[in-house]
Parts: sequence; C-alpha cells; structure tokens
Amino acid sequence: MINLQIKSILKNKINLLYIILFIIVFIIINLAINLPEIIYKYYDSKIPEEYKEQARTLYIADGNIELTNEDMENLKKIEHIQDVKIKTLGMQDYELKLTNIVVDDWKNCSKIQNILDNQGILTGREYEDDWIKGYEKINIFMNLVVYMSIIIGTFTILISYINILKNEKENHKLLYILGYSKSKIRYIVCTQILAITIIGFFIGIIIFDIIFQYVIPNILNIELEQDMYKSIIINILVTIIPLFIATGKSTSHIKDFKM
Amino acid sequence: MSKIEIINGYKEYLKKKEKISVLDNINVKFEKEKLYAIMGESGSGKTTLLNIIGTLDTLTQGKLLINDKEIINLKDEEKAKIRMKEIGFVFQNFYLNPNMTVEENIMQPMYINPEYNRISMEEKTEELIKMVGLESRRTHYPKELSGGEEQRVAIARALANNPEIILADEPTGNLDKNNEIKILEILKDLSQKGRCVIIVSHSNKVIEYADKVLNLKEGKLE
Repeated sequence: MINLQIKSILKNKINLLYIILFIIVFIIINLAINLPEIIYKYYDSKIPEEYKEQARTLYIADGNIELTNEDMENLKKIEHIQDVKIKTLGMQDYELKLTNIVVDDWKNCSKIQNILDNQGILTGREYEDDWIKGYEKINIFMNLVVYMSIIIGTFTILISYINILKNEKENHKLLYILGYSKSKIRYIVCTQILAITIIGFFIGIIIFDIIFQYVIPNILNIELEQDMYKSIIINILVTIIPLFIATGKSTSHIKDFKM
Repeated sequence: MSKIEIINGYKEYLKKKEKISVLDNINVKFEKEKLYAIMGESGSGKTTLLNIIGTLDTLTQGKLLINDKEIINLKDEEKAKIRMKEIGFVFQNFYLNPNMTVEENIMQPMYINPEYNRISMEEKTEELIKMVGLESRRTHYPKELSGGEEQRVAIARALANNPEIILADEPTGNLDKNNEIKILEILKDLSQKGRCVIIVSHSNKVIEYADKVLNLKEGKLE
C-alpha cells in the first residue's frame, strides 16, 4: 500500500519541484549551521602564525589588582580559560608584573573579557589586529544570519508541506471514500511527505558536503570541521516540527467530504 | 432483509444561523438484486441522500440501517470498514488517481482488505479488468483513457472488495450516448447478479434500466 502511495506522489511533477526546493533548503540550512565555523576558520587563517599565541592572551589592565593563588585557581575554572600566569617584564629601573590570562582560542577572548568585566576585572588583549576586530564585528550579524536561515528554512518546509497536502487533497478524500480510515490516511500522508523530504535531504546533504569539504576550503584555503551533532539535531527539528503542524490538520478536510 | 433502510430520515444544514432542510421524512428500503434510480431536479437532495447511504454524511434525525445494522452511532473507523466492505462508489468525474495505472487504481481498495494477499489481489484485479474489457489498457494512466474507459475502471475499482451495494452519482454525466449505454448495462448486470445498485441521475435513459424509480422533490420522496 505504502509503495503505491509513495509512487503516486512522486509521479506528480509538482512534487519533483518540491524535492528540488528541499535540496536547496537543506543546503542553505546546513551552510547556515556551519557558517560560524567557516567565518572563524577564514579569519583565523588571516592571523599571522607568530601572533596566534598572543592573540589568545589577555592581560589585566588594572595594575592595582593583585590576584592571590586562590583567585587564579578560580579563574582557571571559567570555561575557555586555559591558564592564568604572572609575566614579569624587566624595565629599566623596575620590574613590571602582568597577570596574563590564556584563553583556549582567540575567538573566545571577547566572551572572557565580558565575564571578567562583570566581575570588575578590566582586561586588554595582548594582540589585536584588523582581522580580529573584523571578526568581532561580523560575529554579531553572523548569529542573526544563522537563526534567520533556520527559521526561514523551517517556514519554507512547512509551507511546502501544506501545499503538497493541498495538492493531494482529492486523492486523500478518495481514500476515505474507498474505506481507508483517518488514521491510515494520516499514516499515508506522513509517509508521502517524508519520502519527498528524505529524497531532498539526502541529495541536499551530498551537495552541501561537497561544498563544505571541497569547494569552500579550496576557495578560502582553509580546513573545515563540521559540527555533526548540531547539524543532526537542527535537520531533524526543521523537518519534524513542520511535519507535526502540517499533518496534524491533514485529515481535517476529509470529514466534510461528500459526493 | 432489506439491504439498506432509512426510517424517518431528516437532514438539515445550518447556513448563517438559518436551518436549511435538505431531506424531509425519508422512509425507504433498498433491496438486493435491484437497480434503483433516484431522480429529481438540482437541489432536490439526491446527492445528499446518496452521501448518507454511503456513510459520508449523517442524518440530522432518523435511522440508517445497512444489513439491519444501525449506522448513526458508529465510530469513524467502523464506518470506514463498512465503506470498504459493503459499498462501492462510482462518480460522475470518475475520481481515478491520475498517477496510478488502471491496475493500480483497481487495486487501491484491496490494500486495506485483510482478506487479500498479493496473489489474490492480482487474481481479482485480472478478473475485474476482464469484466470491464480493459485488458489492453491495464498499464495505461487515466489521462490515456477515454471517458467511457475511465468510468469502467471506476466501476472495476468499486467492485474490488466485492461490495453488495453500489452507489453511483451521475455515472454517465460525462459520457456520450454509446458509453452511457455500456455503463448502464454493466450496472444493470451487477444488480441482476445480486447487488443493490442505486443510481442518482438526471438522465432519463437510466429509467429504462431501473427496477424502481424514486423521485425526490424538495427533499421529499414521491
């Protein structure tokens, strides 16, 4: 029964267009999920190698603050802080002691600075060039782009599901007349929609993978690593939530069917 | 035992807080081995009556009995089972799935009938295709068929689960005279072989084939 219904929905040329739309949506959603990684790696590639260590080091700007060993140990417990150490600079007539806070990655320095700022500890960066400043600015908009892409992608999928169901309305009503129960029809509806989505998803993921693993790295001369866990969760959510919404009402049109 | 019986049947709709009476005090029995023609002008309630018999709609008041079983209080799943097992539908617009072949359209109702397995489905489909004379068109899609051929597929599909009741709503409405006669002959043959066939139609040709003609006027049977 299901094979026949899936074959029927795939034979409809309009649904092939929806498959193409889903391919595009899944490519865009997965690019959006991994956009922070792409942006970060690109900017990271622009920071000179010799300054990478300094780029992730902060110093306490207020010379009057003296941290005890206990304070330093407490600081190390903060996420992303790798080490806290005292650096002694020998000046002409005196020694200057600086407390350095080593962060795991230069991209997390702003976050740590904000945390320490809230604790009354003002910090400065040992190294900050135009690329780092550029990254800080773009980071604000990047998250907005990511969330908007996912929301728009989800809505696109939802509207597509609703239209697919609209197009299949007459066939579903026919099934009702032939004696298919509403629960069976709902099952068929879910399976038909998932069939279209899964085809679009797999082709979309393959194309995204080619773009992510080969095209972007070659163009930007960087190495990328996909956040698989986040990708899987978000891809499932952008499919399941519209599926629930669309199929929840999928058989409501049937009850009014008459000849 | 009557195949179908309606006792004191009333059907009303609410339209903008106004009650519209569609069927008024319907008392009728439909027997096996008979072909009934329900005639009447547009708006007389013919299709509503057919929808009610087919469990697609419910009476506002009164009883509908199919094989002496009262239908009105049955759950949706039970009504679906009755439609699957007892009733075959034929429509004016054929209502074939355009993305399925002739064979697949005929098989569609069989998938939910637990009495069928794969082999018996194929055997039954073969039998029905031969019955309606479409052996050479079995792998064709509805768009490749003539109107008469499409209606024959629809009749074959209606017979897929061996129902004892056939409900036909203007089955020859979209057909030329030759095809109209062919379809009516098939339906007559079905009634003579034991089924209760009920046809709603404007066409006077149907009267020639009917064992009994019922006239509906403003929701009342004359």
